[in-house]
Amino acid sequence: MKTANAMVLAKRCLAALGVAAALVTAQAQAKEWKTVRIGMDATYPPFESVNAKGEIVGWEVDYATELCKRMKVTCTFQNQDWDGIIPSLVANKFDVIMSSMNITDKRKALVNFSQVYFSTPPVFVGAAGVKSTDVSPEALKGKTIGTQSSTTFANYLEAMYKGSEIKLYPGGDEPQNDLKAGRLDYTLTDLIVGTNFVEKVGAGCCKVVTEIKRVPEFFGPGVGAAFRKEDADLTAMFNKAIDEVDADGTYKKIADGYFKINIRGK
Amino acid sequence: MPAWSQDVLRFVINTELLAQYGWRLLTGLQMTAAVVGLSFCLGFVLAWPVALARMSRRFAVSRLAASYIAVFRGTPLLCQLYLIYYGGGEFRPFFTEVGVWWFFRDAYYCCILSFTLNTAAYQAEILRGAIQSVPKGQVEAARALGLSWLAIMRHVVMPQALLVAIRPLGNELISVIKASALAAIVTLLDLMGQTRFVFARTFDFSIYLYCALIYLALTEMTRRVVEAIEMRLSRHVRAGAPSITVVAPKRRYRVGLGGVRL
Repeated sequence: MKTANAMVLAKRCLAALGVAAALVTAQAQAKEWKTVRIGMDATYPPFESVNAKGEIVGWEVDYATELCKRMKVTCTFQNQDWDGIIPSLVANKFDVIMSSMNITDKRKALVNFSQVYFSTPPVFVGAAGVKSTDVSPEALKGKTIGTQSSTTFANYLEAMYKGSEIKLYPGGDEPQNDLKAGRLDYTLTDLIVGTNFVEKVGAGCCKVVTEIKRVPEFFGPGVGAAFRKEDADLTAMFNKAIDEVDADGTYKKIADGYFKINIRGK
Repeated sequence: MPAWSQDVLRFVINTELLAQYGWRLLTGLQMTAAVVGLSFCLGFVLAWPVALARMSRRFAVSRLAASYIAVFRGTPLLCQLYLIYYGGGEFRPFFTEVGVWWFFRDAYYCCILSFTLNTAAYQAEILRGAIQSVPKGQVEAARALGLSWLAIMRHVVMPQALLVAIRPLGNELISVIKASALAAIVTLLDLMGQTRFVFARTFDFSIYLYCALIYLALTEMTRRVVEAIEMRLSRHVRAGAPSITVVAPKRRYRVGLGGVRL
């Protein structure tokens, strides 16, 4: 039922983009891939963020670069607001989304996904003074919880935490800023992102309160790269490259440069 | 009928989307109306002292008011909003100390504050222009009659100045309505915020069309109401002067309003 609804949405999404976009994508389908444009919302360190020089950097950039090397294509990276990232992919502004996007049924109705390339649990980050690790909806009743909009986190909070005030932000870093500023009691984010944030601002500000389970119905199996429906060839190329990078230990090498824990999720 | 025309039709008339999310747009409209109404009125109140200070003969006072106006008219409103919202967050210990953190903690108050400060600068310049459009000779004549400053303002300057000010104030109100969409960026669920929310859920562009139509209706309504008010208040000017006292302003107004209508 959910998927059927989403299919209607997918159609309408395409329709709204008009004939022009359809023509362009038809061309893209026919071509051989020499360059691949990768779109990401660079507000999500250490996976992707913009450094002082204005370049997009992070683990996902390094990982994508490795995949591109295997596929013998030139990759470029584009920064894109999260809210519009799927419509932009469909409108051919870039060819792939690699932006810590969890694979969900609703998104699958609009785009194709590669296999999972990492999977980490969500965490609640709270103010330093938070004592209890109880983050059940009852315990957080009346509290203000922030997260990025149109994410699995947002969907989860809206469905489960009806008694709390939910604040949604366009970027992934903005809820963390507001937690630091004291406008939020908690944020819901990814384990790595939350830990990275707490390490950067210091324990005087905030702490990772607790991990929560990846409820499959909300969070899906893990993070994958997203492609336009018609680019099945590109999806296959990525899937193969992901296997290769796994097999020869390069994945572990890149990940170890960034993370203390295993994020592969398999 | 070609296939694409059906797609266009479905884009424009999307009853399914409206049925499911229409109420969100309405609650958003309510929030927009509250933010705009409150900040425009507060801005109007604040604009008076600023305009009077701007016209003050004391150099320091007039410079201070001029700087205020220059800063708020010369920088983007988004930048001002960020300074107050995220900048305010940086000074939390200080604000907590002086007991105003509850104010800066809330996105709603931050929006009201930054919109008020911004529109006050614009409105102050409108008021100053309107007051200065009243011929000096009238003030001098009134003073010669022995009227107090307050009486001169109330009976001679203001009735004429406000008439000149109405239309630009209406334009400023329309600007504030449109600028209020920025509130969505700091998590406020105004009309724009709700639209973004619905888009994030549905990826359906139709919602932006409906959002735009509501904003258009809002600004168009404002324009018409302001025009009606101005028409009513300027009856005596348009009808021709019944007495000598109105003759001089009549010619001025024609010039002033003609300028606006161009």
